[in-house]
Amino acid sequence: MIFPVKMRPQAALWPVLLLLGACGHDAPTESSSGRTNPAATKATAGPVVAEAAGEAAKINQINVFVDMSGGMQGFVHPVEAGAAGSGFQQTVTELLSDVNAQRSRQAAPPAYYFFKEKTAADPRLLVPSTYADMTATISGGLRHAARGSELPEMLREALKRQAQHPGTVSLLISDFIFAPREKGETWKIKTFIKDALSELEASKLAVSVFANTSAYRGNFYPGNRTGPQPLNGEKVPYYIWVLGSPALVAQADAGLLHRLAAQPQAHYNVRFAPPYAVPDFLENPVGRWTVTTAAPGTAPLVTFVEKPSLGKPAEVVVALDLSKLAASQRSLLSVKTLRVAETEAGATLTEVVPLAQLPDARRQPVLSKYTHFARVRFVQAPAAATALHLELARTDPAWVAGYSTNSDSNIKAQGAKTFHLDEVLAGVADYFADEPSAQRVFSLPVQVVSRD
Amino acid sequence: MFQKIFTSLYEALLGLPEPAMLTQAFENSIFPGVGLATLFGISLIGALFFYLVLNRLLTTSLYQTKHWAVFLLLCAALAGGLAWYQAREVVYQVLTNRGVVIPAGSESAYSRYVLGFAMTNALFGALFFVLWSFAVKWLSPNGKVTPVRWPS
Repeated sequence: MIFPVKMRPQAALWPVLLLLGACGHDAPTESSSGRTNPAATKATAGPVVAEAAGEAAKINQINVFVDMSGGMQGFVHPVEAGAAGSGFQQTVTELLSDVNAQRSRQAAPPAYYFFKEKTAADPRLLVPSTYADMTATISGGLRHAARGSELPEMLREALKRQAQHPGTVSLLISDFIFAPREKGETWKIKTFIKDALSELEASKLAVSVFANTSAYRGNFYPGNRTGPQPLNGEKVPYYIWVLGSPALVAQADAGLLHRLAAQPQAHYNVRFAPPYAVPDFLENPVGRWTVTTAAPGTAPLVTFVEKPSLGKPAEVVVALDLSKLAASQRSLLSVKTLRVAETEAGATLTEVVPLAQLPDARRQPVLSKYTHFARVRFVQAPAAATALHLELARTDPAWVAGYSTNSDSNIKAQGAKTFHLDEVLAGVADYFADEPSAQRVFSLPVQVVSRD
Repeated sequence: MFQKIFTSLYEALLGLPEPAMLTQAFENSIFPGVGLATLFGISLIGALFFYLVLNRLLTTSLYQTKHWAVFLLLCAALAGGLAWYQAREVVYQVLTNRGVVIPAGSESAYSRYVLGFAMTNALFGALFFVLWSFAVKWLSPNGKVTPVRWPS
């Protein structure tokens, strides 16, 4: 059979078009999902995977320690019908309820202890309690308040239990007024705290301190052991300390203690892992590079398609979501405090801007989940596949000075201050002084490799 | 393997993908997909249709070089169209999945690159058709000497 000549080109199209349609659609999807760059897979398989595995650690148990010395009595008076409890009662009751809600999710149910000093009549340091008993005490007052409590002993007891059961997070709730038995030893507060913490290795411990104030009614017992001063609703600080392994404390801070996120806080060796990414779709890209992320939670891999050089630098922007970080730490973020560590890639940090100052923010809605953008400039190609870490240096929190006093004999006139709080926290900082990971708030790896 | 071959082929003529954020989309999806479809789906089918269907099974009078040239142009046009369509489709898909848009400053670079890609693929479509012609023309009694007598 012979087709009319004019028909033929059209007829010829059909099989071609059919096949073309099939090929054109199947081939790309297969290659984009299945095949990955072998170099990319090799480079990401290293230390990043180990880090990701560490993040997955779970809290096995929560131990709650509440100070039951007479100095706490003023926070926990019985509340009259219709009146609101003190700030302490509200905050701690909510926290205990949150802790109690976790009981079925963890390997062991939470343990509750009252903490007091050792006396001849009762040589115990810890009085085991229950959730019901503890909440009743918080709302109804201490029935058998102890005369005092020693902060270092409380830390030691908490850490001992933690050493026995890895995966434990301890919450310490107290006014943290630490008055050494000998009045002349206040200059040693720092060392007392450091020694108490050395119960555990510094690399395995992290400490978060959340400060708060609450109305205080009744006798206030000053830390420099002068006579009690009656208060009637004046604010007195109390603190919640979180002790545990670095990753677990970060989890507890973001979860259990989220209600205190706006409070002044200090963190030591807590492994924060803010979400971050390297967006490659920003305006005016500098240099030629691409980004791949093997799986969520692993470090992004930047591949320089064209090797950066002095004349042709490349600039990679790292987007950070620091919304979960304490406001005090977030405000530290600048070109001066943020740094690029461990790089032989010749990378320097040139700029850190908040989301609002990024011109792309309006056009790229994806960017709105990040709060800060750090620009890293490369002037040479990385020798081999290396990882650079974007780190925020830890600084001593500024609020501590305002919460500290050397003499709390007249607390009524001084306002909400704690006896030698600065010394107490200096002891914690001293304990972590030789721990490199405690010198930074976070450390975010970015893999870099240049393609031949 | 195809990914590497086609990526080198296209980038040799076109340069690296523009903007750089689309490098993976081009190298992992568009280049191998379009390259394979052009090599087999357009040029091989085109050559087989010309030599086998028109000039063996049907023995039409369309065996001359000018008819062959029409098929050559047709392959080039189809290959160019496919590249244009597929590049835009895949890029659109990638951008949608990631929830981003091409930054304003890179839009013209992107348009230029896609246009260049379409042109390059048109060239490749024609080139592959020529190569396939020499490979399959012995199948056709009439078209044996189209477009040239060489090699038989």
